Amino acid sequence: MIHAGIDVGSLWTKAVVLKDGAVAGWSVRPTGDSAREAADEALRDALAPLAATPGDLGGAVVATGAGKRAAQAARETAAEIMCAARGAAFLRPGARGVLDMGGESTRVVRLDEKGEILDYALNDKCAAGTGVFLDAMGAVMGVPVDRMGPLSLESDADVNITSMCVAFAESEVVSQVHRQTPKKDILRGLHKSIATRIAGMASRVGLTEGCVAVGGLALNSGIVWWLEEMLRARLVVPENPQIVPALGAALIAAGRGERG
Amino acid sequence: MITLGVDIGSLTGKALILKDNEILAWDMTLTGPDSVETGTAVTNGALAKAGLELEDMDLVVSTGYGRIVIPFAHKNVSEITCHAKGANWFFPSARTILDMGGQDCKAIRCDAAGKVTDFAMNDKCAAGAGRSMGIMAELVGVPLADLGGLSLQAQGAGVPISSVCVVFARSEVLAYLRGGVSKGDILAGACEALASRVRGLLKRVGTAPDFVISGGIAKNVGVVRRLEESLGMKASICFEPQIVGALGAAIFGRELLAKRAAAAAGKGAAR
Repeated sequence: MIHAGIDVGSLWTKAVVLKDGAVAGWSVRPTGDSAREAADEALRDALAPLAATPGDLGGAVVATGAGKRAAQAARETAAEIMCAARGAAFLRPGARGVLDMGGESTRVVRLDEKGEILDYALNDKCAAGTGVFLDAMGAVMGVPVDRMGPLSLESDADVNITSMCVAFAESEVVSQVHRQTPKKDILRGLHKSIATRIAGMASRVGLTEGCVAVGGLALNSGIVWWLEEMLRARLVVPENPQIVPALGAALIAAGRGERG
Repeated sequence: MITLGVDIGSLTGKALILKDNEILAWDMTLTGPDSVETGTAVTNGALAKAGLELEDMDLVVSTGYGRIVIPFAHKNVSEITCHAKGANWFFPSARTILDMGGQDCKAIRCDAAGKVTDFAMNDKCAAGAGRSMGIMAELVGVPLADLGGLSLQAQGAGVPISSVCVVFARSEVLAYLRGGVSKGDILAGACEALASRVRGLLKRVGTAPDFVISGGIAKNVGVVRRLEESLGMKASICFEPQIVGALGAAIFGRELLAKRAAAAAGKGAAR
């Protein structure tokens, strides 16, 4: 039996295919202009290792993410929080929380020992504390996104970014660049500012030890470092944190299939 | 008595020279990375227009975002106080003032003397500040000065901008542009989005006539019209709404000198 999950995010679209309950294929691609095409292609790419086509799934596909309604192959959709929780608990049985940090939204979920959702918080209204914040600042500073985290960890200077709003922070960063503040120092301040927002949500929900970090920002070592500092807890970062909610969607597809 | 008011905002610096109760000269410049330089340049501009020197000023009062760093200011005062004083000078009947600059927005209530009785402020989020209009103008590719007028050419209410955050609204607007939505319709949505944020702020202090708008936003007819319609009040706007804060600072200086003079005279009389 094969099942699939598609996570159509604001910036990236991810797909995961399960065969007999284990991950058999996955893909990540930019969402771009057409969420519909991105969803189709992500699914096709994830099916490629199995030499299977969307038709072989027999409708066992669940979509999630901001653009989930555009995924034509999916018969059903599931809430992003449920998918993140399901995927995290699958990879790390007994996980007590999930921080799902995406391009335009951040979700934190508290779980019980069985992986049931106890509480959650989400921000999809404000870019502060989301991935686009880093994207925008990377563009301003001319630093590729995958270099930002490691570079920020090379600094131990205290450059505070005081603006909460990304639009205002942009001017702050520009003036720091003009003042010739080293990029690594500005980056440290930026990472701290983003992590502060996420950690604030996490403590509102009561996250402590045993949490899994997923989503694109979990790939950023600077964010993870600050979050561990602020939450005073180690975070578990899975190998491919970006695909975890898609994995959760695939698990939900498999579960719904079993129920008939 | 000659006083100078200097208002250093996030985007523009303004300076205004007040002689007794008459505006002698004023100047405005874009704020550079260095607030001291901006303050000096705009002050020199105003002094040159008035044919005066800094030494001729009896008192210099600074206000605005960069007010603390102006080295030649004798005193710095909050923008809220200054805007209420400045609005009261132009329109003594003003009881509700909306001041919006690039990086913040204030809703102020004041009494007949121009004294602040209540206020609410947003300086955290660009969605409720002038910057959002700058971002939209750039995105759509029209000069900021034309944005308001264009928004009034929309068919009806235009297209809705559902994102609160300006950064997210950017992607929404880009999608509208790709979909062939007219600039006017998009800008109508953007002006309405900003107006609705402002209404929220005004609601917190309550509104009473007369209603005055100051700051750069007063030059955006698209936002002004939408506010007037929803509040059911005409907005009073002076000839140069961006100098109201600097004027208020200069008035504050004049009042302070008068108070000092009165105190000195009182002491003299007691002796």
